[in-house]
Amino acid sequence: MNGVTSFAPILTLSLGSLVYLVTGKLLERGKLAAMLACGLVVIALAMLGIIPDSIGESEYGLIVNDFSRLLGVVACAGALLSLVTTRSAVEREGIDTIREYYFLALTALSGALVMIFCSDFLSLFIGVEVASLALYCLCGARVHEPASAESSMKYFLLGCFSSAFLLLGIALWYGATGSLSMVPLSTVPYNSMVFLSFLMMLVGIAFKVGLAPFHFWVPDVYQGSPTSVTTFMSCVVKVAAFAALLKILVLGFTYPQPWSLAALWVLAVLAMTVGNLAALQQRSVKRMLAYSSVAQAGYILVGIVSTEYGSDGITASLYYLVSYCVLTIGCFAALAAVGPDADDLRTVQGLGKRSPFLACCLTVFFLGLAGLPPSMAGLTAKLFVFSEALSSGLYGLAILAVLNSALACAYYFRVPAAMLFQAPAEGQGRIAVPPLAAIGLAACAAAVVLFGVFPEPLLGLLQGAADSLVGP
Amino acid sequence: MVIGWPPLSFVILLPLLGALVCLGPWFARERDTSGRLCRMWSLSISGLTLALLVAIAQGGMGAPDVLLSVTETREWIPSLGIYWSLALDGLSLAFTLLTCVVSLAVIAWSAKPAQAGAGWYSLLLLGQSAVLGAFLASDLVVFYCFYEVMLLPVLAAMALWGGARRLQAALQFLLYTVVGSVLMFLAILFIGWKGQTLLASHATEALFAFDITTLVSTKMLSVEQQMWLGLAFLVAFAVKTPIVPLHGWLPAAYREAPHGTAAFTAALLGKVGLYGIIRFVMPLFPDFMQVAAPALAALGAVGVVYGAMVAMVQRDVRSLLAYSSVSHLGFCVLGVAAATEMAVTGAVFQAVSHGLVTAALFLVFGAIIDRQGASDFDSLGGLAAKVPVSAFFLMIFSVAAVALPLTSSFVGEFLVILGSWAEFPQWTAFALIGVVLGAVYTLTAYLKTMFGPARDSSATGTNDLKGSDVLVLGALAALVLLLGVFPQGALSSISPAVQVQLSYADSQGDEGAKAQYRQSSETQALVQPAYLAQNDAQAGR
Repeated sequence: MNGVTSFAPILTLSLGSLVYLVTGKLLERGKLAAMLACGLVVIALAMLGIIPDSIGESEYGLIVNDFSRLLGVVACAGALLSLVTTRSAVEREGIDTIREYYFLALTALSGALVMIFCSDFLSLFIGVEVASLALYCLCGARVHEPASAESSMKYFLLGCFSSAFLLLGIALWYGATGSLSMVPLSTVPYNSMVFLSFLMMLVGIAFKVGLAPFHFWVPDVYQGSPTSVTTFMSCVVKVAAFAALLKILVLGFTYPQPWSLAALWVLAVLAMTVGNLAALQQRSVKRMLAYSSVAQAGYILVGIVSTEYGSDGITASLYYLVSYCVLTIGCFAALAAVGPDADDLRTVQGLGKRSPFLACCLTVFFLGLAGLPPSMAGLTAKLFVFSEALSSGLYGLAILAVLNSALACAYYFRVPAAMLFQAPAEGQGRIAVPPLAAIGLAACAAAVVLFGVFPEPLLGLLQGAADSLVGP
Repeated sequence: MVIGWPPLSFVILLPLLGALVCLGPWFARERDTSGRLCRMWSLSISGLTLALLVAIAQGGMGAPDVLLSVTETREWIPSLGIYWSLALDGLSLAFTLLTCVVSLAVIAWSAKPAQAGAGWYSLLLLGQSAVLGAFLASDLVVFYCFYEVMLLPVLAAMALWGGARRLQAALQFLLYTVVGSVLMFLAILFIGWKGQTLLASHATEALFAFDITTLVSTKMLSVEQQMWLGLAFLVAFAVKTPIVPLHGWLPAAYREAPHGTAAFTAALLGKVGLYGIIRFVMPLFPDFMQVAAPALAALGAVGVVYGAMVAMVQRDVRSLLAYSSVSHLGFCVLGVAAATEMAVTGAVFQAVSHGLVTAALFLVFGAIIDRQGASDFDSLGGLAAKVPVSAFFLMIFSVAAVALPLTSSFVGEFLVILGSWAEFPQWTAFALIGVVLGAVYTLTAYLKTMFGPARDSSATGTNDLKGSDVLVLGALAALVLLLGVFPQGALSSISPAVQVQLSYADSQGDEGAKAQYRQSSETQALVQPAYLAQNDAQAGR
């Protein structure tokens, strides 16, 4: 019974999503479809709150503890926020397959939850595939737009490639340990097979997270997909992929070896540097944010590497992850509110005149990504992560990270500068922000400021989550 | 002494609140109608802040403790050891008063960028709040937050209402400052972590300790650590001050910014850098300062002469003012490097005086530039007849900039020179060349613009300053002269605080030095070092 209840939120989402397929024209109206989707996510959120912790090893491949519950809440809340905020943008983007859109979004979310809750490699792989397949399709939701189809195709091909790596890693793990469970390696010696298995899984998950040098799909997919999908994806996929990465590292490869730490160190530095350098050269805001997501993933990794998967470092990383999710949802959702084709810097130019509210929100989010004070969450997150690196004696990593965040200011400031200090292009009038989007964006902005100014409550929750993952 | 009410936070929160109120009409974009109202509102807020600060200082001053220090500490992020802790001592008081006065002057100044309305006042108040925060913070992380925040309103004002190449200037300013300060951020984290590991015996489970007095008292940094961390701090502050090789952002920023913003930046932002060196670098990294002092003195003296020489060949009034700032602040750097009580007190005094004088110069020249529609010396001339009131005030402030006796700059530069002579005679002598050059370029600039042949300028308005502007300039001029004639009051409040900062660098611990200091000051009844008497004699001439 215990094992079955842990399925409840996932089942809610995946069974609930089937409603879209069996009802006919009823759910083709955007409002009703969106309401149903949000309702289902809210029910899933409530279930996450009430399902009991797993006692011991779960036999169904899923495990409920503070870690999975909290990250599940983050993924669901992020999904809810992005669905609400981009509700009207979906229609303006010309996505006429509303039923399929919400079906796929809910399926992707249920896959993400499986990744977050998994306790063996088989359920991990199922989660990854369910989430990915739904997202491949979602990226192509703007069926009349070649760029959308292109991004879908690219994501699909590279995603399959990475899944193959993940699967190979899992197979090697099975060969080495004779089990698909993540938990026991304490008795298994580290041999070359385990080493290879680690590398393969790392490559597979790094693809999903979007860490350099496995980030090539990120800019194309973020740019080509409809902005509403990018909003959804940038949060849900990031959370799920990082949860999976943490589970593999902490549960599977419990005792950090020098080579595994070195591999993660290199990944973190590459992601930060490559992401920031590439973002510097972009004129497309979505592409810039895509590369910035690569760099931000690198910062998140810094906390994990620093304490050798210790609970303090993971807490810092999780805090960073949560604040990044809020920021990235805010950025993309505000961009979606600007217009269906808002992408190039020219399109946001003079936004301060066209819609002061949107410009103000976007400025808060971009400053947050840059880690500057008024949007305190970004600064506090950087403070936590960098201080973990310092107190673990990884001075080189800390200096590289901090120099990277200075470099990043150069491009993060470009967007607020274009919005506030340049005149709008010809023929662009004021923008009416839909009320739901306005509420969602205001909530994001408030969260960014409040999380940063009062980080203690969230930090306490995250500490509990990290402790439950790492174990006593 | 700890004062419960009104707490120091109010000094920071009041302008912040005022700024937020002004944001409303800014977004409602009722520009023309709200400008006047917002001006009155921000004037009263800024005045109230000044009054509050004076009241708090008076309260602290009344205490029997000689050290004027009002502190306030609240929990912010206890698990990281970050506290919202503020402190006001003689050093902070000098700079916070300067901040309030200059902000008030810039807000009261009638000329503002043409398209600006409520936003202008909102940004000025925001800037005032952040700069006050930086001067009051005694927790390193809180300081860092304010240090970064104060850049944003200035950048925004520059980018919104600046000259033709404003965006490049703003970006350059931003990059210089941010690159300088992120390394300081890392150094702050390192120090906090190091401090906590040493304090762990008697402190909480917090990961860090960021309180500056606690950190200083532990003396936990090895010499080698001090070198790296001190350098990180110094570079950040050197960019802001600016100290010479790192002044690249300055000319463009001052030239492109609106005049009020330039006055605000030149008078206040740079002082945060100087204040940071005295408040944080000197006590935290005493060994580093010992090693770096000769280099710093050299940079200061070179800055004095280099700034003056470059200023001499400028064709644009604002560029001249920018480089003259580099030159005058070189004196402050020299004084800080010498690290004698007299020199550092002089440096602080000179910084305050420079803040007043340079703000006034930027405002007056700004008004002239706006009215004549030109900013280069070739198209300005013979203005004394057209704008006699401006010419009169310009004369006072030019003379003050040259550091003639009876003006505040004289006291500052004199103390710096006297105090540094013992430590670095050669660099002090070198800096003296700059004093002469300073007189040359300042007076030449005055002559070129006010006298000489009147240029054919397209300007239609020859109208002079308005009544409120005269009031602002009159108040600033009165302050400059008052500080020049009666410097004791200010000096006797600055010098104990400076003494405490210097005492941290001594080999004995914090408490020992303070006790010794208290003892010595009791014997002197009131802090009245010998040089003050000497100074009285000169000022009284």
